[in-house]
Amino acid sequence: MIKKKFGPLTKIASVVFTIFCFLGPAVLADDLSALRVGTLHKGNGEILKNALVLIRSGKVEFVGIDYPIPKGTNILEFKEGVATPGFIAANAYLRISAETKIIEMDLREDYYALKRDKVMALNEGRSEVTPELNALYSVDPRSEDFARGWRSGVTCLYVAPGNLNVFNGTGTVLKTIGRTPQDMVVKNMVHLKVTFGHEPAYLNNRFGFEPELRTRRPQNRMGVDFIFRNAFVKLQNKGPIPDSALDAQELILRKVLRGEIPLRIRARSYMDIKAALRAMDEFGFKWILEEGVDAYKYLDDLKSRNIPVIYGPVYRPEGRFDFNAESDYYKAQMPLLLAKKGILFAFQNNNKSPVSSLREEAIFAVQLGLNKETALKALTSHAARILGVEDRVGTIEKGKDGDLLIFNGDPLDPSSRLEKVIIGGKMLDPNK
Amino acid sequence: MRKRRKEMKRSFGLPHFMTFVLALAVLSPLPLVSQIKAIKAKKIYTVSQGVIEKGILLIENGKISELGPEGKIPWNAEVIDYSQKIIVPGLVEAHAARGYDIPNETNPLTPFVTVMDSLDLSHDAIKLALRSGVTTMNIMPGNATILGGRGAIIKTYGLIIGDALMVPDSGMKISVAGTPAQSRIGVMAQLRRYFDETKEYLEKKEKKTTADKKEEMVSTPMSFRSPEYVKYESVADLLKGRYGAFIYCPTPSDVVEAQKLSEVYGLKSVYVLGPEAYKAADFAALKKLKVILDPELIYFEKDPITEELRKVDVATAFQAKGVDFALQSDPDKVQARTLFYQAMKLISCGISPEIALKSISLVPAQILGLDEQIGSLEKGKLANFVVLDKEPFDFSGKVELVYIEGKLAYDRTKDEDLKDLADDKIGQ
Repeated sequence: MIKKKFGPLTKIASVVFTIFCFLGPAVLADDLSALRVGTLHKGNGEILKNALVLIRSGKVEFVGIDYPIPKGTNILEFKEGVATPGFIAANAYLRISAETKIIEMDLREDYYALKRDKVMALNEGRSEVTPELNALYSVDPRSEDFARGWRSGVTCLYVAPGNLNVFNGTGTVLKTIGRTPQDMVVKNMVHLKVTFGHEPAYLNNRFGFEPELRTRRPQNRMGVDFIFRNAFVKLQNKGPIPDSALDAQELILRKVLRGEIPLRIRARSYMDIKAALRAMDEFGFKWILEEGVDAYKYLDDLKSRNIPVIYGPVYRPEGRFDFNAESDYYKAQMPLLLAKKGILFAFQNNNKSPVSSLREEAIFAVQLGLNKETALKALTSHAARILGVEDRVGTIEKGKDGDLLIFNGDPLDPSSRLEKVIIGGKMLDPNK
Repeated sequence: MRKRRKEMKRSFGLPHFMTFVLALAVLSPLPLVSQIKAIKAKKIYTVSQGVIEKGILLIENGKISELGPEGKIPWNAEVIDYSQKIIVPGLVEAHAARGYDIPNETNPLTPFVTVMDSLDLSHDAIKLALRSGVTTMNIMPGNATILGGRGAIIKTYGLIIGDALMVPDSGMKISVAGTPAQSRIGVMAQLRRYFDETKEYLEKKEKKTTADKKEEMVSTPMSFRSPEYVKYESVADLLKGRYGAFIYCPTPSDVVEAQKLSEVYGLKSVYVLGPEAYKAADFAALKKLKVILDPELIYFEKDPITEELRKVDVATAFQAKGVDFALQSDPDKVQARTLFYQAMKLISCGISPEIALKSISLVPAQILGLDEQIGSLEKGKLANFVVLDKEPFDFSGKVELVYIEGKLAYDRTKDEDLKDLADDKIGQ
């Protein structure tokens, strides 16, 4: 009965329509854009002069000197321009606007600032162990920081839940443009973030805070370390039971132990770095050191165990008087020390240095003696490697995303200007 | 060998000794006479008179006595050779709310305070300023109080305020910006009331006969000052024009209001702008305002309806209208940490290096009314200058030495703090 309703013509039409549905967008989206730039930094250290870049449907099709371009394609010329891959913030603090405009949710902000500005943080007060949280579900693409980010050359960034409990949750790598978080995502659940030191503890022994924060258990480093180890010990004691018998938390922790998801340990003082190194020996996970202010004391350990470092901000005017800096002393030339030792590192921001100043942080590191090539790698390919997204971003190579920046001079000179930003083949003007 | 020595002994006899003594007597006053320093440089950026290649700078009594291309050096001058280096004038920071602990008073109307009471010349902010080539700073109260108090112009060298002070009352800090507790409507009303009360106070004071004054002197001890005196005297000085006002205007409409206020009360005003005030560039050009730009030179403006961001080059907006502006730095932010860095930002916005250098040296000096003393390298001005190893806006260059009034105030090789911080490698 139902079949009779459709005649042969409609059938053909529907088939054509279905085919068009699949192929149509591909035909329409065959947006080939070609650029010729004076100098091209590929991101892996290679430099090309007078280079041609072809981007088809958001992916880089060709990088080199000469290529048979289809007729009618107009080539954008930047003869004096210097192209680099889009910069990647290996860790970003964003202001994420929530439903109301007045209340802004901060992904990672220190608690006193939150109190002062009456904003909410992405900190979970429910438990100390919340590895099941995922930052992607709190991202609002309307956040001003995304727009500021791409206008300053940041095409990709990493966000994670806040740091006021021990297991904070998994982070996600996002592009800085897109209409929904799902559009923006490059890779989700890249690292499981853990915070060591006083941050998960220091609010618990003070009065005058919300009950759920006050009644939490750890009140010092020992407590934090115990909770961290206890989560893994509990899992190990369960024995070789199948994955299906584990809950969501334990499943993520097991993935960490298997090496599928690396840990990202936020450890600033030397005690915390040492604790993380000890835990690594005990449980055998892969980890990445975040904001290791005291990392210069463990350069040999970090090098021998191949632990990448995410360091920043390089410029800390408050120095040793910073409330949040647990370390009594910081070395501004840390990037230089890490580079000399051959440790993989990338730059990050914090609440005092917005995403838009990522490039300036790198420039400051260069002023302190870091060579420009390493600084550029740390902004691009090394950051991508640490975040595990090197198959998509970080360099300008065939098959990768068409994320490019075009400067009118040396990209790491403050007096040169960012002229064009290309994200996924989409041309954007940062100066508008 | 012995013979030779004996001969030598013999040869160094009395006549020789006498000539030696004579020579000593003639030459000994030389170091006392030689008060002149001659500084050779590869390039001298004078700011007001262009660039001098292979120049010589003569300094006498802390002032520049001669400036020109390589030529005669007086016989008694102490020659200092910087012939591989570049000299620019000492930078001037026209408005800096730092160098003390707390920038703002909690009371919004405190015209009677002065930063001289809280200024700490060993403060990190002042050390950082000297390290980055700043020789003169106008220290001002912060932006959050309506009548914030008086500022002071200092040299960035010296521990005792008497040594460092250039101008004790450089101006009155006024903020017409509203606070979360009070909008501009209230701020302006409070300002007008304060000024009107001060006028009344002045009129009353003028009416007093000498007999009245004498009686007052007799009846009250010398050291006692009436509450009225404390309350109004500093604003009275402002209204009399002894010093100007530094008015903080975060928005364009604040600039207009502040200008109106200064016109009505006859204030000599300098406008300390917020980033959004770039829209008042036309107005500033029309009224020939003296403006100091916000440290945030690249401003992201949000459209209130579409929520789209727009990037604004604040300095370009003013330059397009032909307004001279001075720059500020903000050492709390990596993107605005020093005046040199701010000037490099200007260049990235397409402004010429000459104007960039002017906006951190001569223009701020003009704004402070000290352009006869500082701001550029000219005959008769103070010998405040910076020795760089590379061109002024080469960002890999460094401030090597800073001279203030002809004296070496900063030497990079002897900067212990810098070694502690970063192995002696912080740039300009």
